[in-house]
Amino acid sequence: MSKDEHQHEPCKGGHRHDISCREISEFLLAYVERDLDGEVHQEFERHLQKCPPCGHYLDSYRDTVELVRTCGKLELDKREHQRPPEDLIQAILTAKQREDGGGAGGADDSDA
Amino acid sequence: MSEAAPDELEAASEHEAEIVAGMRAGDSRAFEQLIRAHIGPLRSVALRLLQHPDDADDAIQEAFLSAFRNFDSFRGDAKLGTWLHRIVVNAALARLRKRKREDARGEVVDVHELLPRFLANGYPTHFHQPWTQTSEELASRAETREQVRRMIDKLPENYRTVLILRDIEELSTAETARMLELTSGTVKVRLHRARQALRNLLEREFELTHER
Repeated sequence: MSKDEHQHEPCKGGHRHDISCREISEFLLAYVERDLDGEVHQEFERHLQKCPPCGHYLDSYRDTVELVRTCGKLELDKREHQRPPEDLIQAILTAKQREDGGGAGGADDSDA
Repeated sequence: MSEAAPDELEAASEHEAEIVAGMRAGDSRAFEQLIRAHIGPLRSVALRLLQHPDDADDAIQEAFLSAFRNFDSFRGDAKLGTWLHRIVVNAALARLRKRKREDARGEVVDVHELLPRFLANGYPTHFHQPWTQTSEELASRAETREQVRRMIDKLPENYRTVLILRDIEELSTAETARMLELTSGTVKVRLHRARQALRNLLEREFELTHER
């Protein structure tokens, strides 16, 4: 979309933007998390309907969040199927035995 | 997460109940079962936050020992995995605070350089276009997922940590704020900027628009 298109289509079609593209960008998190007051939320929606670039920005923002979430979960699934780290398990069990053995002598000085 | 069948869920729940009962009775075998049942995904959590396997393993060890010492505080109103997850996140964050890790890191981006820019009248200097690929298409490729992970690691530490806790570990804003000793407002600002910066990196790196 050209700059002319953006300025003429959304802003001069009988509707005035009460909030700017800058404000859309700044308050996008609050919009996505439904943290905006009812009236402001409606203004946001009006702007998004009439301003395709801001709509595209919102879509790509949501895609980014979804991509991060999906990548995190897939990584977790992949590692869950790997063999448990036996060395680490044994190290933890040994450390616990050491704590148990030293408990009476006050060897445990670590924080919870 | 992979979905489990109802029978598997029931068996898992019984197994968890056995572990909890054993832990409360001071049975050391229950502690080993607890570790074996949860260490895989929890190690991923620590590794994601700390980035170095040795640091992650130290945090995991601290977390399990802490869980053992403080098992009385497990009330049973949350799942064992959720309770342990918070302990591991805390242990990893404590370790993160202690070390001067920025020196050891590779490329770190300037978040402000990656935020959208605007003219004095509030219009953007650049008009956004639709992406040519969906998040599902992008996430379906292992190579792309690895690149996304590397991009997250390029964010400055204070932004990276908030993004991971909120968008991957799925902690609430309030919980993230408490764990990082920040205000909720600061968490929101950092999360929003981290997402915006990452959005920009993704668009650039994967050439997600038809722009030249």
